[in-house]
Amino acid sequence: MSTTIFLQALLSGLTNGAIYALVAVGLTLVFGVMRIVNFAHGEFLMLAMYGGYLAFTFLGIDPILAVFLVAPVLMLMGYLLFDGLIRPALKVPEINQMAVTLGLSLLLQYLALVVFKADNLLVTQERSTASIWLGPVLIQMPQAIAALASIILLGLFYLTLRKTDLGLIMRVVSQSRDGAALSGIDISGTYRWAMAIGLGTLGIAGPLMVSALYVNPHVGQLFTLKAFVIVIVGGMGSFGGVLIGALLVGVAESIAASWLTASVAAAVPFALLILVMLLRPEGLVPAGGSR
Amino acid sequence: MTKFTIDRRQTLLMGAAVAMPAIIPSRGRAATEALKIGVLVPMTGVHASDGIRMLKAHQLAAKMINASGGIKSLGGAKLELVVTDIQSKPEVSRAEAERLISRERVSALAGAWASATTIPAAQIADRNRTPFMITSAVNDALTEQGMKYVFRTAVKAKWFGGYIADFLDYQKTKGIAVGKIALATEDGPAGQAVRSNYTSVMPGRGYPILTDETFRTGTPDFSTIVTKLRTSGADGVLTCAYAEDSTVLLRALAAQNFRPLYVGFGGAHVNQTVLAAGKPSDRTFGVVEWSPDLNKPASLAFVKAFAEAHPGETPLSNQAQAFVATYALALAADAAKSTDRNAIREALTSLKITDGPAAVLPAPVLSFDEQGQSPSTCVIVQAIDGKFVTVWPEAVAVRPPAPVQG
Amino acid sequence: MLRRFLPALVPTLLAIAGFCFSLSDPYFMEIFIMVGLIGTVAVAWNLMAGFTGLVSLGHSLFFGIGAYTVAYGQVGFGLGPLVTWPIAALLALASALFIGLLCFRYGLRGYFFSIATLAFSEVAFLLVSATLWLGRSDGMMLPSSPETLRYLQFDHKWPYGLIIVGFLALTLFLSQAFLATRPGFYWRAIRDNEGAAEALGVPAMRYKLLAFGLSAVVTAIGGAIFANTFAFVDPRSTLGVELSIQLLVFGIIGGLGLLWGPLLGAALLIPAGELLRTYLGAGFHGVNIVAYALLMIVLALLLPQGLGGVLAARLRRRAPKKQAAAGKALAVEAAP
Repeated sequence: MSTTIFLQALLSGLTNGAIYALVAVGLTLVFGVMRIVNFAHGEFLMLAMYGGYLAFTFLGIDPILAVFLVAPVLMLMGYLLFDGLIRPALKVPEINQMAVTLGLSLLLQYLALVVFKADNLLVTQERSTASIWLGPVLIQMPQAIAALASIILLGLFYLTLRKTDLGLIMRVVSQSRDGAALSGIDISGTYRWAMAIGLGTLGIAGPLMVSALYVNPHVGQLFTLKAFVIVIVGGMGSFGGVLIGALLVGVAESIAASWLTASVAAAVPFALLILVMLLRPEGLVPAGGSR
Repeated sequence: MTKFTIDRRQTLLMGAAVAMPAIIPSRGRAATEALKIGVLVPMTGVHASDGIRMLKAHQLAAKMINASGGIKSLGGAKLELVVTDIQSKPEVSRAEAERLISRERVSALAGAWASATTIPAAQIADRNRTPFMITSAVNDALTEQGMKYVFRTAVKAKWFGGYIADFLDYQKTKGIAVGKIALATEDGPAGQAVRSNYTSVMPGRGYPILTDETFRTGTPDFSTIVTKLRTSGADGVLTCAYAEDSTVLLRALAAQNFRPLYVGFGGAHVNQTVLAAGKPSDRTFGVVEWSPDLNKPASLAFVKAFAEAHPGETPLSNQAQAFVATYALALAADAAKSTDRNAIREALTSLKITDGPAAVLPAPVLSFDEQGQSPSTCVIVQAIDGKFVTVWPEAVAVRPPAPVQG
Repeated sequence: MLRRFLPALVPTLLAIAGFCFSLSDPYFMEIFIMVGLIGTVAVAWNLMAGFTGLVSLGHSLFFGIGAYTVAYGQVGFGLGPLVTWPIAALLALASALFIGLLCFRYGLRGYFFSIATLAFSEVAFLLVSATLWLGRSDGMMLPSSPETLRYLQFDHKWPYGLIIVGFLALTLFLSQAFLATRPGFYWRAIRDNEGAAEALGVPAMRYKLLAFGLSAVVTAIGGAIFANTFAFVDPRSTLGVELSIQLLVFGIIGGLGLLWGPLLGAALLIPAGELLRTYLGAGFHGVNIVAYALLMIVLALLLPQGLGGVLAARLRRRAPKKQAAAGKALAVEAAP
């Protein structure tokens, strides 16, 4: 493998990793605070991608600006989802919760199929084929924008969790639900906000990703499992961990793909997950340790 | 407690399930016996958009046959399509084939999009001595394993490399030389069948393969693969990818200012989605079983009829295949003067279509050899000004190929 | 004695009745085969999930091991089920013990265990999709052979149905017997409170491995039967995550606390899916799955004990005095 290809694989891996982080950060928030596995996470990403597509096609809004339209809609969805489905689901056993979110994932995919049909939809702009060259290697413009947004978002998250009351409350709840309840924290309210913010982040990811990729009813599935891998590799509920886990998964996958056949390379993130779970089950950056 | 109501509700559900077999209707035979053809298409799941498209073509064929008096030798019997959703899954395809054969008592089956969903259904049909007309699957083995009731209007995967080499040879006579090839194929059944065919055919025809890349469908970023294609020194890129991946791949090529002679594969390339990618798809070629601008009367008539039935839509290659598959079964029943499965099978083996509404595909004759394979062929199309135009072979071409650097 | 085996006997008798009914029509037989096969595998999966508290999302791995051992054994070496089924069982046992040892040694629990098993099965799915001699993602066709019995190749569906009735009955009776033994009670103790069970001297690790191993072996035999019945295996249908999720769904809908719960789930949902497809599928693609998903969400929320749990409770309440013991036996596992 030549140096150019290696460097390109590394850079692409980092870019992809940053994009994965953008998808996974909401999942880790929900997972970390509420201990609920949301198998429908990718489907909300899919909805946000349709949001970006519709805003661009029918309102002529640039995907970067569409973020400010789609993110509030996704937050509202998260808010409603909590009261409609997640709150009742918290009362049933863990395994039933899995069935509920799996059912939700199916439901959203096939509702999207009924509404939007199965065709692939694209956002095509001038910058769709623009790129930034760094010596012999490059990043494509839409990917670069999504990666940048991811880093900004993670920075904001870090500040929110460190510097605001809401952040403090969320950290407390994620560490001990009972302890938080005893100190008078409104658990349901915190959960509701966690869900709203968790899905809200997808409102940022969706429009930016649809301009780099495409959207169809099943596109979310491509990201759900990967987001799980990242959340666990990074350390559940840890935002530093999400970034490190995502970059690691992105780079490992990208470098493996440059010298193995694609299916073997696709197994690499899962192999990484197994390794991390066995050697360091608390994740690379445990939530408590990300000070 | 609400226990009692829950029990009631649950009893109702149970009751419905127990009574299930009784309420499945065994839609009995119609008074005037129609020719029933089962259509297996994926209407949900990963291949949903393709399946829904295929269905429109099947239905158009049925409509045209019935409008022109039905099956004449059967006293104008209507052609009735029994459509089913195979959910893009092999096991569903198989179960539905079984159901259509045993419960719906269809005279023949047509379908079932991808190779993975076609193989099990074709096996079931063969085992039950029911003719099965493959619409679009290209897996070689389907018409090589001695199945007696399986027929194919589509081409075999292993023929594509030959078509492309022929086309490149033709380009050479026009002074456009491509010397070295790079491959990029998706890692699923279709991509790998095509890949193994290209790797076995191209070097022997004087087109060495410099790099051979695979990717999984849904890959978010093709920069590394395109860097490898670009730095390999190849001037021709052959791909096999689903439409959504093609768009990401083509944009990555454009982002790196790499404009090789690009040949995409089949209906997955010659597709609105790929055109929607805009400039990156301009001047790319596609090797495909049929194209709507094909210079052939029946083909033009089919496109016109399709546009009337579905305003604003142009049929794709696989839709032409689905149309022809339906027609071929109806013509066989007409020739057999029967809706009997064996009689239709016999009639298919001696069928020879050279003109009439079913002569839509580019090959001069539609017939089936003892393996059930038709002598199909392909055309090369090129995206020029936002449209795919047939550029080769000369006999059916609309215009000569345009230079790649647009 | 008879009463103790009612939870195995009743479903077996119903399965035989279902088999006889399905003889009338190959399409019903196809549905019966799927219900019996996947239902029995779901019962095996539930020995872990419902009785030991280990929710595997990677059971397709063992199903795939079974299916691919049969397929490759026949394609590569001309071996029949007499040889390939035991090999499949051994391979599944070995992989379950390996995965189990790794996971339990590091104390993976709850969601983490589920996702670890899912990761293992995804790795297998992707590797098989990339392996040329296993047919890659194309899958493998089992060549037809005139030696009907040696390769279990029949012209009709019903012999496979019969094999599956046997598989179902054997699985139910052996599981029921096993659950009444000491290790069977240990499983439930581990499920309810692993720490407490260990404190009382139950070697949790050993019994969790036992549950994992047994469950994997039955699942692999299910996969082997699948390969022989359908004469075609491909990574998506035998190793894909969809299959593992199906087991979970059948378990939850039918009732995790009951031996026969997942079988009930399969017997309701598979025909329901067929019905929805027949009636809604062709006209409104996708609507059938929307209905299926809604059903799944509502049942998982409103009936945590599953339809089987409700049914068992009802039977117990209805049971007159003299049959009380029988009712108790039926509901013996419905405890938590």
